[in-house]
Amino acid sequence: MIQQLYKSLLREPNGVFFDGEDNDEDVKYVLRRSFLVNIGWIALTIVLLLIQPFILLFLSNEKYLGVLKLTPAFSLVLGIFWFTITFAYFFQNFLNWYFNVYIITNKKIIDFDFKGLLYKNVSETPLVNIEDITSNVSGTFGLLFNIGNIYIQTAAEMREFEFESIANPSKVRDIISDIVTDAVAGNRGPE
Amino acid sequence: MLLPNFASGIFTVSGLTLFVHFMFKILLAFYAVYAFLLIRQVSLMNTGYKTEFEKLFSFIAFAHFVFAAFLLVVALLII
Repeated sequence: MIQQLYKSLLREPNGVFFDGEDNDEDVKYVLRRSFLVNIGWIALTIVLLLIQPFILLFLSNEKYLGVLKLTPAFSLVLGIFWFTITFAYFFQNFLNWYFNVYIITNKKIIDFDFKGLLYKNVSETPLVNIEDITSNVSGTFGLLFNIGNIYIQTAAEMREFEFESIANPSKVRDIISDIVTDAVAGNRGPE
Repeated sequence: MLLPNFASGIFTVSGLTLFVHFMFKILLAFYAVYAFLLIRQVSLMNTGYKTEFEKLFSFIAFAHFVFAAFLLVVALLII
Protein backbone atom coordinates (compact mmCIF):
# COMPACT_ATOMS: atom_id res chain seq x y z
CA MET A 1 0.00 0.00 0.00
CA ILE A 2 2.75 2.42 0.99
CA GLN A 3 4.43 1.77 -2.36
CA GLN A 4 1.68 3.76 -4.04
CA LEU A 5 3.13 6.87 -2.41
CA TYR A 6 6.46 6.77 -4.20
CA LYS A 7 6.35 4.32 -7.11
CA SER A 8 6.07 5.73 -10.58
CA LEU A 9 4.78 2.56 -12.24
CA LEU A 10 1.94 0.67 -10.58
CA ARG A 11 0.56 -2.51 -12.09
CA GLU A 12 -3.12 -3.23 -11.38
CA PRO A 13 -3.09 -1.11 -8.20
CA ASN A 14 -5.63 -1.80 -5.47
CA GLY A 15 -8.15 0.80 -4.45
CA VAL A 16 -7.54 3.11 -7.40
CA PHE A 17 -10.50 4.68 -9.16
CA PHE A 18 -10.84 7.68 -11.43
CA ASP A 19 -13.56 10.06 -12.44
CA GLY A 20 -15.50 8.62 -15.38
CA GLU A 21 -14.49 5.00 -14.86
CA ASP A 22 -16.93 2.49 -16.39
CA ASN A 23 -18.21 -0.52 -14.45
CA ASP A 24 -16.50 -2.95 -16.80
CA GLU A 25 -13.26 -1.00 -16.85
CA ASP A 26 -10.10 -2.19 -15.07
CA VAL A 27 -7.11 -0.05 -14.26
CA LYS A 28 -4.13 -1.91 -15.72
CA TYR A 29 -1.35 0.57 -15.01
CA VAL A 30 -0.85 3.89 -13.32
CA LEU A 31 2.17 5.89 -14.43
CA ARG A 32 3.78 9.00 -13.00
CA ARG A 33 6.89 10.97 -13.69
CA SER A 34 9.93 9.23 -12.27
CA PHE A 35 10.44 9.85 -8.56
CA LEU A 36 13.92 11.13 -9.37
CA VAL A 37 12.47 14.31 -10.91
CA ASN A 38 11.46 15.26 -7.35
CA ILE A 39 15.06 15.53 -6.18
CA GLY A 40 15.17 19.32 -6.71
CA TRP A 41 12.26 20.29 -4.50
CA ILE A 42 13.05 17.64 -1.87
CA ALA A 43 16.57 19.06 -1.59
CA LEU A 44 15.19 22.60 -1.33
CA THR A 45 12.79 21.48 1.41
CA ILE A 46 15.69 20.07 3.42
CA VAL A 47 17.68 23.29 2.90
CA LEU A 48 14.71 25.39 4.05
CA LEU A 49 14.40 23.28 7.20
CA LEU A 50 18.10 23.48 7.94
CA ILE A 51 18.46 27.24 7.50
CA GLN A 52 15.46 28.12 9.69
CA PRO A 53 17.47 28.45 12.97
CA PHE A 54 20.06 30.63 11.21
CA ILE A 55 17.37 32.93 9.81
CA LEU A 56 15.90 33.34 13.30
CA LEU A 57 19.34 33.93 14.77
CA PHE A 58 19.98 36.57 12.11
CA LEU A 59 16.68 38.31 12.73
CA SER A 60 17.01 38.29 16.49
CA ASN A 61 20.53 39.69 16.52
CA GLU A 62 20.62 43.50 16.61
CA LYS A 63 24.16 43.44 15.26
CA TYR A 64 22.77 42.38 11.87
CA LEU A 65 19.42 44.11 11.99
CA GLY A 66 20.16 47.29 13.87
CA VAL A 67 17.38 49.24 12.23
CA LEU A 68 14.64 46.78 13.26
CA LYS A 69 13.60 45.76 16.74
CA LEU A 70 11.85 42.44 16.32
CA THR A 71 10.09 41.22 19.42
CA PRO A 72 10.50 37.65 20.69
CA ALA A 73 6.80 37.09 19.90
CA PHE A 74 7.39 38.09 16.27
CA SER A 75 10.43 35.81 16.03
CA LEU A 76 8.44 32.92 17.49
CA VAL A 77 5.54 33.30 15.04
CA LEU A 78 7.97 33.81 12.15
CA GLY A 79 9.86 30.64 13.11
CA ILE A 80 6.66 28.58 13.18
CA PHE A 81 5.46 30.21 9.95
CA TRP A 82 8.73 29.26 8.27
CA PHE A 83 8.11 25.58 9.09
CA THR A 84 4.51 25.86 7.91
CA ILE A 85 5.52 27.35 4.57
CA THR A 86 8.23 24.72 4.16
CA PHE A 87 5.69 22.00 4.83
CA ALA A 88 3.21 23.56 2.36
CA TYR A 89 5.95 23.73 -0.27
CA PHE A 90 6.68 20.04 0.26
CA PHE A 91 3.01 19.03 0.30
CA GLN A 92 2.09 21.07 -2.78
CA ASN A 93 4.97 19.64 -4.82
CA PHE A 94 4.21 16.12 -3.66
CA LEU A 95 0.55 16.49 -4.64
CA ASN A 96 1.53 17.82 -8.05
CA TRP A 97 3.72 14.78 -8.60
CA TYR A 98 1.32 12.26 -7.07
CA PHE A 99 -1.81 13.36 -8.90
CA ASN A 100 -0.29 14.01 -12.32
CA VAL A 101 -0.92 10.48 -13.48
CA TYR A 102 -1.33 8.58 -16.70
CA ILE A 103 -3.85 5.79 -16.28
CA ILE A 104 -4.01 2.86 -18.65
CA THR A 105 -7.16 0.78 -18.45
CA ASN A 106 -8.39 -2.09 -20.60
CA LYS A 107 -10.33 0.49 -22.64
CA LYS A 108 -8.47 3.78 -22.72
CA ILE A 109 -5.60 6.00 -21.67
CA ILE A 110 -6.26 8.97 -19.41
CA ASP A 111 -3.87 11.83 -18.73
CA PHE A 112 -4.52 13.87 -15.56
CA ASP A 113 -2.72 17.22 -15.46
CA PHE A 114 -2.73 19.46 -12.40
CA LYS A 115 -0.61 22.57 -12.25
CA GLY A 116 -0.48 24.68 -9.13
CA LEU A 117 -3.75 25.46 -7.42
CA LEU A 118 -5.87 26.52 -10.30
CA TYR A 119 -5.30 24.31 -13.31
CA LYS A 120 -6.75 20.91 -14.12
CA ASN A 121 -6.75 19.20 -17.48
CA VAL A 122 -7.91 15.67 -18.25
CA SER A 123 -7.44 14.02 -21.64
CA GLU A 124 -8.38 10.52 -22.66
CA THR A 125 -8.41 8.37 -25.74
CA PRO A 126 -9.69 4.86 -26.42
CA LEU A 127 -6.93 2.30 -26.88
CA VAL A 128 -8.28 1.40 -30.33
CA ASN A 129 -7.57 4.98 -31.49
CA ILE A 130 -3.87 4.71 -30.74
CA GLU A 131 -1.81 4.50 -33.90
CA ASP A 132 1.78 5.03 -32.92
CA ILE A 133 3.85 4.98 -29.74
CA THR A 134 7.31 6.51 -29.55
CA SER A 135 9.73 6.75 -26.67
CA ASN A 136 12.86 8.81 -26.35
CA VAL A 137 15.57 9.41 -23.81
CA SER A 138 17.58 12.59 -24.02
CA GLY A 139 19.83 14.81 -21.92
CA THR A 140 22.43 13.89 -19.35
CA PHE A 141 19.91 13.32 -16.56
CA GLY A 142 17.73 11.18 -18.83
CA LEU A 143 20.58 9.05 -20.08
CA LEU A 144 22.06 8.67 -16.62
CA PHE A 145 18.85 7.44 -15.00
CA ASN A 146 17.01 6.07 -18.06
CA ILE A 147 14.23 8.65 -17.88
CA GLY A 148 12.45 9.84 -21.00
CA ASN A 149 9.22 10.77 -22.70
CA ILE A 150 6.60 8.70 -24.47
CA TYR A 151 4.56 10.12 -27.32
CA ILE A 152 1.29 8.48 -28.25
CA GLN A 153 -0.23 9.43 -31.56
CA THR A 154 -3.96 8.92 -31.86
CA ALA A 155 -6.28 8.87 -34.84
CA ALA A 156 -8.80 11.20 -33.26
CA GLU A 157 -8.19 14.83 -34.23
CA MET A 158 -4.51 14.01 -34.74
CA ARG A 159 -3.93 14.41 -31.01
CA GLU A 160 -0.73 13.39 -29.36
CA PHE A 161 -0.40 12.29 -25.76
CA GLU A 162 2.88 13.03 -24.07
CA PHE A 163 3.99 11.11 -20.99
CA GLU A 164 6.82 13.12 -19.51
CA SER A 165 9.85 11.99 -17.50
CA ILE A 166 8.88 8.34 -17.39
CA ALA A 167 11.34 5.87 -15.85
CA ASN A 168 12.39 3.13 -18.26
CA PRO A 169 10.39 4.50 -21.20
CA SER A 170 11.21 1.60 -23.55
CA LYS A 171 9.62 -0.89 -21.16
CA VAL A 172 6.55 1.33 -20.71
CA ARG A 173 6.25 1.80 -24.48
CA ASP A 174 6.28 -1.98 -24.86
CA ILE A 175 3.63 -2.39 -22.15
CA ILE A 176 1.34 0.16 -23.80
CA SER A 177 1.94 -1.37 -27.20
CA ASP A 178 0.94 -4.84 -25.95
CA ILE A 179 -2.20 -3.50 -24.29
CA VAL A 180 -3.17 -1.63 -27.46
CA THR A 181 -2.57 -4.74 -29.56
CA ASP A 182 -4.80 -6.78 -27.24
CA ALA A 183 -7.50 -4.08 -27.29
CA VAL A 184 -7.48 -3.84 -31.08
CA ALA A 185 -7.59 -7.63 -31.42
CA GLY A 186 -10.49 -7.81 -28.94
CA ASN A 187 -12.32 -5.05 -30.77
CA ARG A 188 -12.11 -6.92 -34.06
CA GLY A 189 -13.49 -10.08 -32.45
CA PRO A 190 -12.60 -13.66 -33.36
CA GLU A 191 -11.94 -14.13 -37.07
CA MET B 1 -5.23 45.85 16.50
CA LEU B 2 -4.40 44.96 12.88
CA LEU B 3 -3.75 48.44 11.53
CA PRO B 4 -0.70 49.97 13.22
CA ASN B 5 -0.41 53.60 14.23
CA PHE B 6 2.19 55.17 11.96
CA ALA B 7 1.81 58.59 13.63
CA SER B 8 5.49 58.75 14.51
CA GLY B 9 6.42 58.16 10.87
CA ILE B 10 7.33 55.02 9.01
CA PHE B 11 11.04 55.89 8.68
CA THR B 12 11.76 55.57 12.34
CA VAL B 13 12.80 52.41 14.16
CA SER B 14 9.42 51.96 15.82
CA GLY B 15 7.57 52.94 12.62
CA LEU B 16 9.52 50.48 10.52
CA THR B 17 9.05 47.73 13.09
CA LEU B 18 5.31 48.37 13.12
CA PHE B 19 5.26 48.30 9.34
CA VAL B 20 7.09 44.95 9.24
CA HIS B 21 4.68 43.50 11.81
CA PHE B 22 1.71 44.79 9.82
CA MET B 23 2.98 43.34 6.54
CA PHE B 24 3.67 40.02 8.25
CA LYS B 25 0.06 39.83 9.42
CA ILE B 26 -1.12 40.57 5.89
CA LEU B 27 1.15 37.78 4.65
CA LEU B 28 -0.33 35.38 7.20
CA ALA B 29 -3.84 36.33 6.09
CA PHE B 30 -2.97 35.58 2.45
CA TYR B 31 -1.38 32.35 3.56
CA ALA B 32 -4.59 31.30 5.32
CA VAL B 33 -6.46 31.92 2.05
CA TYR B 34 -3.88 29.82 0.19
CA ALA B 35 -4.30 27.03 2.79
CA PHE B 36 -8.05 27.09 2.18
CA LEU B 37 -7.52 26.88 -1.59
CA LEU B 38 -5.23 23.92 -0.98
CA ILE B 39 -8.14 22.07 0.65
CA ARG B 40 -10.22 22.71 -2.47
CA GLN B 41 -7.36 21.57 -4.67
CA VAL B 42 -6.92 18.31 -2.76
CA SER B 43 -10.67 17.74 -2.97
CA LEU B 44 -10.54 18.31 -6.74
CA MET B 45 -7.59 15.97 -7.11
CA ASN B 46 -9.26 13.27 -5.01
CA THR B 47 -12.36 13.53 -7.18
CA GLY B 48 -10.38 12.98 -10.37
CA TYR B 49 -8.13 10.23 -9.09
CA LYS B 50 -9.18 8.28 -6.01
CA THR B 51 -6.68 6.25 -4.03
CA GLU B 52 -6.47 4.68 -0.58
CA PHE B 53 -4.75 7.87 0.64
CA GLU B 54 -7.70 10.11 -0.21
CA LYS B 55 -8.65 10.71 3.44
CA LEU B 56 -5.06 11.19 4.54
CA PHE B 57 -4.46 13.95 1.97
CA SER B 58 -7.75 15.65 2.86
CA PHE B 59 -6.89 15.51 6.55
CA ILE B 60 -3.40 16.96 6.01
CA ALA B 61 -4.79 19.81 3.89
CA PHE B 62 -7.48 20.57 6.49
CA ALA B 63 -5.02 20.42 9.39
CA HIS B 64 -2.71 22.74 7.46
CA PHE B 65 -5.53 25.25 7.00
CA VAL B 66 -6.51 25.09 10.68
CA PHE B 67 -2.90 25.65 11.67
CA ALA B 68 -2.53 28.58 9.24
CA ALA B 69 -5.69 30.18 10.64
CA PHE B 70 -4.48 29.54 14.20
CA LEU B 71 -1.14 31.15 13.39
CA LEU B 72 -2.92 34.22 11.99
CA VAL B 73 -5.01 34.56 15.16
CA VAL B 74 -1.92 34.15 17.36
CA ALA B 75 -0.07 36.79 15.32
CA LEU B 76 -2.98 39.22 15.64
CA LEU B 77 -3.08 38.68 19.38
CA ILE B 78 0.57 38.72 20.40
CA ILE B 79 2.46 40.74 17.79
